[in-house]
Amino acid sequence: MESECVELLPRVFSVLGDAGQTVVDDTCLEKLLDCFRGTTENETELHILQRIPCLTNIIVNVSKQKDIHPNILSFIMKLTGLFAASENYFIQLEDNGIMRHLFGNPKKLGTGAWEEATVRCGWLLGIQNMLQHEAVIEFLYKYDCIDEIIRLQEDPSIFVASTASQLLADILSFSLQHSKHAALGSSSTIQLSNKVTVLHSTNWPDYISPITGHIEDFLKSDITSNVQQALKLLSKVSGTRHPVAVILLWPKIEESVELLLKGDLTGIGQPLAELFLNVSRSVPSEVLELKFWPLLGLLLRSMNQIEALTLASGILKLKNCPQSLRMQAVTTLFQPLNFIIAVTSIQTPEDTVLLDVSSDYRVDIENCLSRKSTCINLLCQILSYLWELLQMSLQTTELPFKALMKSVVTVLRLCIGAAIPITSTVVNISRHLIGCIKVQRGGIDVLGALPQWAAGIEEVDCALTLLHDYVSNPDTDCTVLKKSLQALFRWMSHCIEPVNSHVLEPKLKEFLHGDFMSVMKKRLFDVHWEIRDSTLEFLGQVCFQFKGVESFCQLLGSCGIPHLVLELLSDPESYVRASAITALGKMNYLSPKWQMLPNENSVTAVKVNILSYLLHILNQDTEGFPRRAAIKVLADWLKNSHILSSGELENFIPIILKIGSNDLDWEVKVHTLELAEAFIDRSVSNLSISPCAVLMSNSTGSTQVNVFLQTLCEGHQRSLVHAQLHWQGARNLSAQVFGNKRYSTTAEVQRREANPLLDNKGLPRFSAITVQHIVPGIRQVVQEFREGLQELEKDLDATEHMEKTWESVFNRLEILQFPIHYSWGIVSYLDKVKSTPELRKAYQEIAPLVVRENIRFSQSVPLYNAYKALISENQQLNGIQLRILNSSLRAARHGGVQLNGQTKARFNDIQLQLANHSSKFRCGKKQ
Amino acid sequence: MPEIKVTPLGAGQDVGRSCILVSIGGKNVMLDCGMHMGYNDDRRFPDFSYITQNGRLTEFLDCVIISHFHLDHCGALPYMSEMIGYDGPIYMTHPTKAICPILLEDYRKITVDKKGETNFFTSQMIKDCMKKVVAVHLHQTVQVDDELEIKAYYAGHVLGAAMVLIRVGSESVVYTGDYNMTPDRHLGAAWIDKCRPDLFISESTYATTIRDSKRCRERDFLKKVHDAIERGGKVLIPVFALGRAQELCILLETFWERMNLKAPIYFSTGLTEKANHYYKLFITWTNQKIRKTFVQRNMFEFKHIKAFDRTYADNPGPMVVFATPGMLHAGQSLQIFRKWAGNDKNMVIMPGYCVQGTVGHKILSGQRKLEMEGRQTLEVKMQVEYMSFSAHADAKGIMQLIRQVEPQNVLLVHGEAKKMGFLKEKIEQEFSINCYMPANGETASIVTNPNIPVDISLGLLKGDSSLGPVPDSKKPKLMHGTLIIKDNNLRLVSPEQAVKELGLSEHHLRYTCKVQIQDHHSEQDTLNRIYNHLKNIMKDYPIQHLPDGSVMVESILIKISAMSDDQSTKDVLVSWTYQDEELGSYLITLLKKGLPQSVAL
Repeated sequence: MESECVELLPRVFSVLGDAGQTVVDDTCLEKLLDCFRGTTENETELHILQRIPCLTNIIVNVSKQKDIHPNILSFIMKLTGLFAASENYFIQLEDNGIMRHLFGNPKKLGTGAWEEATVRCGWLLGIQNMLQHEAVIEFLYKYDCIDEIIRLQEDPSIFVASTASQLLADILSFSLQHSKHAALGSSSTIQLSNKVTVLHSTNWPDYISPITGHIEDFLKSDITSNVQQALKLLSKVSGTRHPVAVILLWPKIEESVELLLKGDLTGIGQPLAELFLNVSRSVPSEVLELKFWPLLGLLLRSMNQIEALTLASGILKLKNCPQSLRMQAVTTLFQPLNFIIAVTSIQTPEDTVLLDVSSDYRVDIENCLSRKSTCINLLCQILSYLWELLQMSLQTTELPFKALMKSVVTVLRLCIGAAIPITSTVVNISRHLIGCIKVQRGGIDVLGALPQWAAGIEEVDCALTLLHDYVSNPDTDCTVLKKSLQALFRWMSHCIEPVNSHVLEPKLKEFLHGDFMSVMKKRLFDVHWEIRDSTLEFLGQVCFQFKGVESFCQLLGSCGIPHLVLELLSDPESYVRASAITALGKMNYLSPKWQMLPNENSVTAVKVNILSYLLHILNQDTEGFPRRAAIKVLADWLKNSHILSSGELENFIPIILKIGSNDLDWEVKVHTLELAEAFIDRSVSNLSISPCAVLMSNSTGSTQVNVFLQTLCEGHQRSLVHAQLHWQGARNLSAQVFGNKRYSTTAEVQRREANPLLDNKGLPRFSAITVQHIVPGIRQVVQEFREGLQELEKDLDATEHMEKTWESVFNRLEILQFPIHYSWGIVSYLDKVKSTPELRKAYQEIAPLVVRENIRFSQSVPLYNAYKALISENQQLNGIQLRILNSSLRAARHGGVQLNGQTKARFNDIQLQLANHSSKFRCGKKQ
Repeated sequence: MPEIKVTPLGAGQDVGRSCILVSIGGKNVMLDCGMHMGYNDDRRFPDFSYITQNGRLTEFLDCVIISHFHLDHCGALPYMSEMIGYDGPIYMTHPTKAICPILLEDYRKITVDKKGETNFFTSQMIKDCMKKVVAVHLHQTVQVDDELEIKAYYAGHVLGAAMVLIRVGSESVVYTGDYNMTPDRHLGAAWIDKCRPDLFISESTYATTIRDSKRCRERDFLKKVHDAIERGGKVLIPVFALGRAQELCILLETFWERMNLKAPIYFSTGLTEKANHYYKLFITWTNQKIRKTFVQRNMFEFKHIKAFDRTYADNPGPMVVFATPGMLHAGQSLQIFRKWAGNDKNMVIMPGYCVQGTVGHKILSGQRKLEMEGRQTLEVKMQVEYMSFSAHADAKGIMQLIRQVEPQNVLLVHGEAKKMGFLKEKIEQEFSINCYMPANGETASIVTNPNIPVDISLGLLKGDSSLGPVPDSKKPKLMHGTLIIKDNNLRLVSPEQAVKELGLSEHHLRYTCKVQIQDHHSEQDTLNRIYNHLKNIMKDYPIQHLPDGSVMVESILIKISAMSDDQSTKDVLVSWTYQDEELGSYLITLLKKGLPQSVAL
């Protein structure tokens, strides 16, 4: 914590400690607490307390006051807890009686205060904060606090209740971890299993017994809510830092759990399932008791249908569960779908049924499916669990994918009434499902996740037809339509994967050449903007993905969709306009192939138009989204111009940069920068091929970029530079600007090619950098730095009496310093992590040069004066800038800028010697 | 007993962010999904892990309803739908859906551009989130699923603000969002049906203030601005782009016109154009006056108010600047504030509520030295004024709306605990209904008495009313029927039909009672006398004298027992079926009184 803060604190606390003052704003208390929490991570608690004596004062004072504001009391409790995490301080506070007063017996605080939920919460969190040593637990036991915490689990406020049970879980696992017997075994699993047998409950410390007793009592209780509470607590124990605690507890509770399992499960099924899942997730299976898995199986069998689904999907996600149990879970999860397939299929269901169905389940399922609400609920649950499972790549291979596909398709067909019901059961189910958006959403999601798992030619056919139905159905809900298009995109992309393409591509072609394109056209002019937007997004995605597929390109070019998209550029909804622009941008990737088409003229006309349209939007559109999209598309084109061969774009660059830099929207500006970067990159890549050509382009485009960047850096658009700083990181920008200056000489490019150490465009090319690069490379950057610095100093001297700006000093400095920092940084990093005798030799050779240059830099009087001028002139600098400025000033002073004559020479001498010594010392240590 | 459960994750006894979870009839609905402006990390979003442990919000929640576009009501929406992965429907009104993404974009710009945060939602996320939104019209009943329906009403707080009625079966909840009960210069007052919901969840930002009349406040505001301008100061009015801003613009515009003032008025950011554009688009949502004048002159095109440029802030001389955002937590308003704060001639007028942790909140609570980023401190010398222009209902308005809606229970959110407590007492006293005010994370359970619908067969209704006299509308009438519960529905049918349906044979149950009457006439005559007596008294009833020597009133049979020893005492037997219990006992009491002498034979 910095000294300025420390100075402020006494005053802050005097306000807090004064009961007469009201502090209603609890966000600032929370933030103050955050600040202390941050400090305790870096410094030890005692150290802080010594530095800030008023902390102890406030704790002592507040604990003695009666009528303190609940928010402040709660704050003090949490704060005390934070510092009492240090055992010494805890003991000190307890000796003073403060601990007893604040945390001992809550009733003493006065009932009024205790009635406030925030005070109870503060009390619990305070204890939780200090729970780092055993003294706390002994203290809690001594003052009967544990009973109070147990009671607070039933608190009316959910915040308090959940904190209380979390605290209990923490106490339990903490004390089991730290009890003497547990300390004997280390945490390796073999010893753990020994420990489980060794550690008998009789040896447990006394203070655990209230909690374990409470759990045991509640597990045996007749009242469902009590049982629930105990189970939840146990689940939480298995989620703490020391989850094995639950295994130590297991022998004590096993009997009651077993009894519970065999009894009525209403209301306790869910918490039981959660407990079992948590335990099997957090405890290595070697330690688990043998009876554990059979019990879990029993639970799965005896739960009701909907609750069993949660457990089943949980089991499938476990890594360590036995195969039989996994099979049982699969069965449970699939049974309802199974049932639907069985009743809907016309042939004898034998070949389609995925798994054997036990007859007693059928009744349950049939009941569920016969009522509308349960039917929808059941299907939604299953679908969302399936979707989750499909998202996980591992292990899911065991699922019967073909059957899964079939059943999902059946359900989705029922949802739009495309399936023909034959039996009364199906009529009933389809009546529930028709138009049910909830099930549709879930089903489409699952369908969209399926192509990578099950995609033979039959499935592809089936999925494409179904999705076509959904997309063309006018009743389809906006969200469902969006999901359908996304799913369709996945299936389509699957078809053109190289492994499948020879089989599936004809199928896809057939599909696309059907009436799909006309459906798309209709959808592009839907009354809902959501649908127009989703369709455009889909088209954009497809165009990009299929840019290599000849037939698709031709189809799209000839079907007239590009023209429709162009029309949408004047849509009333700005979101749609933006998506239309993006889609057009993606479509342009196909356009080279359009030239082979008969109606060539119209297409090229469109192409030329697009550019002018985009410029028009960039210039005229009143909303930000379309302008952002337009500039993004332009930047993207420029980046990929080798594919797009869009020669005419280049002529527009000056205009685009001009419009972009004057735009009011910050993101447009950011993307304009990207465009500029792409342009610079391109010019450079041209450079290396033929230097002459560049000199030409240099005079046209690059000067424009130069002007543009200058307006950015030196003009009044500081906010833009900021946006850029935040957005891409400071280095990127300076690299760009720096690069821009350097790129204009061919020598620069060659140099970059020659010495990878100097290539500061992206990440360091460590694999290419060798020791031979170090001396010449560093010498070069030092040389350049020296020249640059002299130039800067000259400029600063010349403008000594004029007002300095941030841009004219620090932006130039950043540009100047970056190459040397970058390259020298790599060298010293290599010296630290991959040192060799050769490297050390090179390092020693070149280091004095760098040190000397550094001394010169820090003692630069013109710069120092410029800093001082900046801070004295009333500049509108923000916090970050001020901090940079202050630290530069400090560095200059520490670097000896104020010294002169002999003292200065002596100082420099010492500096050099010091560098020498440290360098020698390092070499000595390593050799 | 069925219950409605309400758990605020935000807005429970505070004004930070609104996010309220309601469980009603097995459905879970989230009301608003706001962001806390006081924090810069994940704490600004509601912690959804308390709702469902395994984080599958889509399965748990049936829908999300957003009341209006302020970020403390909708700011966490992209986080919830795109980062947490909620996939279900989101409902809001058309104007809200149109304006919400603008404000979210604006906020994103501030956090990502100015503060450099990276872990924040992207433009694409905002768009994808907006695509999940279903826009609703006012007074349109939207069927979320078979059981759950919602309906939006006009709330007047800002353009597109709505109150929602949520109904599941016979249970219903009204959530007001933020609302305003007094029409102002551009928006109308909140209005809702007398829908008698089980629970009425109301905001209570101004639970204890009774605002003085609107006129006074406006005059006060103009005077303050005028004074500051006269002494050469600059006036900063931080506003949200939509809502208050337009009203104050109209106000200043007319004042400038009237007083012939020359000092420039500026309105910052390009948002204004867009805001006015939306006002034009959704003109139907504004109040009548604007709608009328709109035809002649666009109220939103101003003569004196010009667009602001950042360099103007340094111009000498007086000026008035409207700048966004309204809580001085970032952006242009904060920049201008920093420039002007040091001069005691200048003035800042805060026209709305400020959330905890923002600069606006700090200066309103009297703080004079502010710590800005980079450890700079800023001394505030300028005048700080607060004007309650915020279009929330005051205590009077809240009571008025409760009276209008007639709820069974009231629950207060979006207000400070102390003020809420005060209002709660008032509501409980005045309406003698329960009022709840759960804190964040506390659940309020409201027991409801649901109506169970039963079908009555037409036969039963007709059959019962055709008999007997014209039913008296004030007196409850007893009806006999059989309740059949079958296939999840309830039916009330006549016993005969029930018997027939169930294939049972019918048994009749008759009660017979003996009444002794002192009468010396012969049996036949006594019977005649009884007949006449009853005919006199019960004029509307069909009374028959049967040939077998008995009298029949509806289904009740009256006979004279033959075996009587004493001539003067007659045993009269009255027999009735149990359905006619009432009439039977009436006849008995009548007969027990004896026959008056005057009755003819």
